[in-house]
Amino acid sequence: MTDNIFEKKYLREKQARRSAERYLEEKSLELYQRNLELESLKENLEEQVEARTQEARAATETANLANQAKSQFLANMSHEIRTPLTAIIGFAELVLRDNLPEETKKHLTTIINNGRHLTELLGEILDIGKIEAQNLVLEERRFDLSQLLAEQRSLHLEDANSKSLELNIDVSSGMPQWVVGDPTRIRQILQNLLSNAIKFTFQGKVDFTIKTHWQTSEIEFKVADTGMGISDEQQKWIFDNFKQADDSINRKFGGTGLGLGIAKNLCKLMGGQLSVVSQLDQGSTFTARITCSEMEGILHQLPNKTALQQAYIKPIPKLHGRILLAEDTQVNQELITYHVEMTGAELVLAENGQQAIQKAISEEFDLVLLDIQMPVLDGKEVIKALKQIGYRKPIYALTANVMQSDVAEYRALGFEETLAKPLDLAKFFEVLQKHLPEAGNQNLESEAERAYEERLKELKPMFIASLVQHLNEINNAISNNDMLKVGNILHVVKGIGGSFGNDRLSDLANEVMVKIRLNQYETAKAMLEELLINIENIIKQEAGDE
Amino acid sequence: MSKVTNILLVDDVEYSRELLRSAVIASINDEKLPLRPHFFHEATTKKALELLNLKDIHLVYLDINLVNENGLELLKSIKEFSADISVVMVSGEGSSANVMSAIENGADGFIVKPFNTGRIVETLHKYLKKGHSK
Repeated sequence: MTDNIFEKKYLREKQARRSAERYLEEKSLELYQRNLELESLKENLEEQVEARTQEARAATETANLANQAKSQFLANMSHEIRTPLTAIIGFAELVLRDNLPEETKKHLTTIINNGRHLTELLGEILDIGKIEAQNLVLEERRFDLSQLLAEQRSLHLEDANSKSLELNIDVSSGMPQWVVGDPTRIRQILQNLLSNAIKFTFQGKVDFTIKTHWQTSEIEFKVADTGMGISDEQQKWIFDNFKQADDSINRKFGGTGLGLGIAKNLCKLMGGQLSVVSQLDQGSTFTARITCSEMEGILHQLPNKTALQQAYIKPIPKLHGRILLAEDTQVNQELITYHVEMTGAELVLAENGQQAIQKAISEEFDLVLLDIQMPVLDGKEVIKALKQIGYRKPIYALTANVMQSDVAEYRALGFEETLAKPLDLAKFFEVLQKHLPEAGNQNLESEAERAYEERLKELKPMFIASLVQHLNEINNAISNNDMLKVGNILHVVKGIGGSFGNDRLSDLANEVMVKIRLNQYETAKAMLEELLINIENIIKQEAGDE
Repeated sequence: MSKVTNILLVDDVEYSRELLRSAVIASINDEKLPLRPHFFHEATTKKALELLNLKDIHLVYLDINLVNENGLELLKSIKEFSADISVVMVSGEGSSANVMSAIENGADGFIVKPFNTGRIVETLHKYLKKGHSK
C-alpha cells in the first residue's frame, strides 16, 4: 500500500518535472528566437537610421540649392516684370494726357496707381529676402510727409468708395510737414495697413488717425476698420512671413502674405513697433509707431491735391534743344520719345552703348539719358568712356535698379542723377526743364562760337581757292590717267570738306577715294563726275554770293 | 597765372590745323582759361614724333585720317613716349570702332568734324583738370 503511494507520488513528480522541462525548453527556444529577431531588428534599425540621415542630408542640400535658386529667380523676375509694368504704366500715362472724359481719366489713374502698387509689391518680395538676410538699409532724407499722406489718401479713396466705405483721415491733432526718414518704407507700411483695412472691411468705415509725440519725435499711424476682425489665435501669427490668417483668404483676397511681416520689421527698424487690437466681426485697429530723425513745420490738415495730380494739371513745359537717349527696349524708346516730343524738344536714339558714345561726341546735345542695362556696352561703361574724353554735358542714369547702393555708385561714376523706371513724369519734366532751353528763348551763341564762325568765314576764300586748285589738279591727273594722284587729292578734299561743314563734298570724295584704293577705276571715274560738278557748284555759288 | 602750354596740331591739311588753332584760341579767350598756348604744326607721324623729342609738348590735337597713316597708331606712340601728354583725337567721322579704339588707347578727348568751340572747350577743361590732379 505504502509502495503504491510512493510509486504514485514518484510518477506524479516525474510527470511534473517532465512537463516543467518541456516548458523550459519551449520557453528557452522562444527566447532564443526572440533574441535572434531582436538582433536582426537592431541591425535593421542602424541601417534605417543611416539611410534616414542620408536622406535628410540630401534634402537639406536640395533645400539650400532651391533657396538660392529662389533668391535668384526673385531677383530676375523683379527685373523681368518691371519691363512690362513700365509699358503698362507709361502708356496709361500717355493716354491720360489726351482729352478724355472724366470717367476714363479716373479709370486710367486707377491703372497707373495699381501699376505702381504692383511695382511696390515686387519690391516687397525682394524685401523679405533682405530682411531675412538682415541687410535692409533705411534711407535718411528729408521729405514732405503731408504729400505722402495725401498720396495715400488718393490711392485708397477710390477703393474705399467702390466698396461704399468711408475713409477718414484725421491729422487734426497736428503733424509735422517735413520729416527726415525713409519715405519709401513709411509709404510701404501705410500702404499695407490701409489696403488691408479696406480689403477686409465690407461695411462701415476706415479711420486713419495720425498723432505726433513731439518730445520723442515719434509719429503714430492708427488704422481702425469695422471689418471682419482677427481672432486671438490668428493674431499670434499674422505678422509671420508667408502666412495669412487663413489659406482661403489668399484665394479670396489675394496678396503675398508678406506685407504685415515686412511692415512690422520696418517699424522695428525705424525704432518703433506695429501692434494690433482686434475682435472677430467687430474690426481691427493696427497702430504703427515710428521714430523720425527730425521734424519740421506743423499741419492740421492735408493738402487737397497730390504732387502727382498737380503734375497732370501743370502744363507740359515748352522746350527746345536735343536729348540723346540710349535705351535698347523699344517700349521705353517710344514712351520717352513721345514725352520729349510733347515738349517740342528733339530726341535722338542710340540702340546700344557704343552708338551712344559715337552720337554723343558727333552731335550736340543738351542732355544725355543712359539706360544702365544695355547690350554691347552698358551705361556704366559708356559714362566712364565719356568722362575719359572730357564729356561735360549732363548725363542721367535711367534704370530699374534704384537701390541706394546702386544710386550711390551711379553718382560716383559721374551721373547727374538717377531716373527710376517706371518713369515718374513730373520728375522727368523737371529734369528736362532744368537742362533744356525754353522754347522761344534761344541761347545766344557764345562769344567763342561767333569768333569761330567769323574765322571760318575768313578762311572760306582759302577753302574756295584750294577747291579751284584741287579741281584743276584732279582734271590734270585724270587726263594723265594717274588715278593714285586723284586719290591723294581727294583725301585732302575730304578733310577740308569736313572742316568747313560740307558733308556732301566730304562724303563724295571719300566714296570715290575708296573705289580708287580698291582699284575700281572705272566706277571711280563715273562717280568723279558728280563730285566735280559738286565742287564746281560750290565754287560758282561762292562767286555768286560775293 | 597763365601757364605756357605747348600745343601740337597734327593734321595733313593746313586749313584744318589753322581752323583748330583759331578754335583753341577763341575758346581760351571766351572761357578765360589760364592757358597761354604756343602752337606747333606737323603733317606726318614721323615729324610729330621728332618734335616730341625736341619740345616739351603738353597737348596734342591729332587727326585720325592722315595721308597713308593712321592717327590711332601715332596716339599709341605718343602715349608710349609719355602718358602725361594729353592727346585729343580729331576725326571726320565718329565711327564707333575709331572712338572705342581711341578710348582704349588712352585718348583724352575725341572731336568729330565739323566741330564747334564747345567741344574744344571741353578738351581744354579736361586738360586743365588733368594738370591740376597731378
